[in-house]
Amino acid sequence: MKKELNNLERLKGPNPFKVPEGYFENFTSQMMSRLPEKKYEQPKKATMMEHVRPWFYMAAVFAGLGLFFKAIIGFGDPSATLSARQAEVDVDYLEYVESQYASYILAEEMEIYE
Amino acid sequence: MQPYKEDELVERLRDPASRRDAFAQVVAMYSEKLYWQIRKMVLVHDDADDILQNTFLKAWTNIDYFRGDAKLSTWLYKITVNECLTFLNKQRSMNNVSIDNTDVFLLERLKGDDYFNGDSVQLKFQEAILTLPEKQRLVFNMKYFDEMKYEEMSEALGTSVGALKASYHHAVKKIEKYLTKDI
Repeated sequence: MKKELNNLERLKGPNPFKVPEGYFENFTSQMMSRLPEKKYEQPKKATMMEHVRPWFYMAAVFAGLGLFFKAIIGFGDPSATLSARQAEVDVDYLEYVESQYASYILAEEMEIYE
Repeated sequence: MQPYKEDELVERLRDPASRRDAFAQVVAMYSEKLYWQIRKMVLVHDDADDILQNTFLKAWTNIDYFRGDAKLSTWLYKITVNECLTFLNKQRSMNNVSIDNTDVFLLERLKGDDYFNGDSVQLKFQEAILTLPEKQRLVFNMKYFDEMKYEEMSEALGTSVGALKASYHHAVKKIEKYLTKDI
């Protein structure tokens, strides 16, 4: 490897590549004149709505989840149980009224036939 | 030129008020070094000039993405290498050269370049370098002509130091073989 490098070292004479006269001296100014102006964008201030929006979304998600679970396991709801009990009471009362009314009618009819 | 302090320069590049002046300093500092890197890859002055301008244009438009994690020179080298490879790919497709073939077609462009005055030995040497695959050619140019450290090359090319040493060794052997094959 040493021998190979030495052989190639021989070729490291004067640089055969040239550049136009004053190329590097003028390059910076020419390059800078070609560059577009860079616009500095002020970071946008977030509005009140933008601050609050995530909380709205979160509240909506929770409300949706609540409704979903209510729809799925609504029978476990205490208010639903109360309504069922109320309905049972109502039925009992109606049956009682009906039986009383039926007894009254029956008594009346018996009087007619007597 | 004032003594170069990378940290201060990077700070000035980040500040919109001083950004343009700082970038002018970057161009002044790196244009010559990057030019020779490009020129050794594409050989012809006009092409090297175009690529160098594109390199700085890309650096300017993407300056906000430079976070200072790597050295400024490494970042610029990366852009330069990408621009060179893009140019060479375009040239290959324009000249109907397969990606597996060598870039010897560039030699014809070099012969017609007014800014090359090498003799036949120099021309043969360039031809030998052109027989290398492009990545190996990059490694050879960085080491042989620019005498870059392997560590710096490793950062710019994203290749391990060991792989770069092996690549350079193979490149030297291939060039030697090419130059001595007709003797």
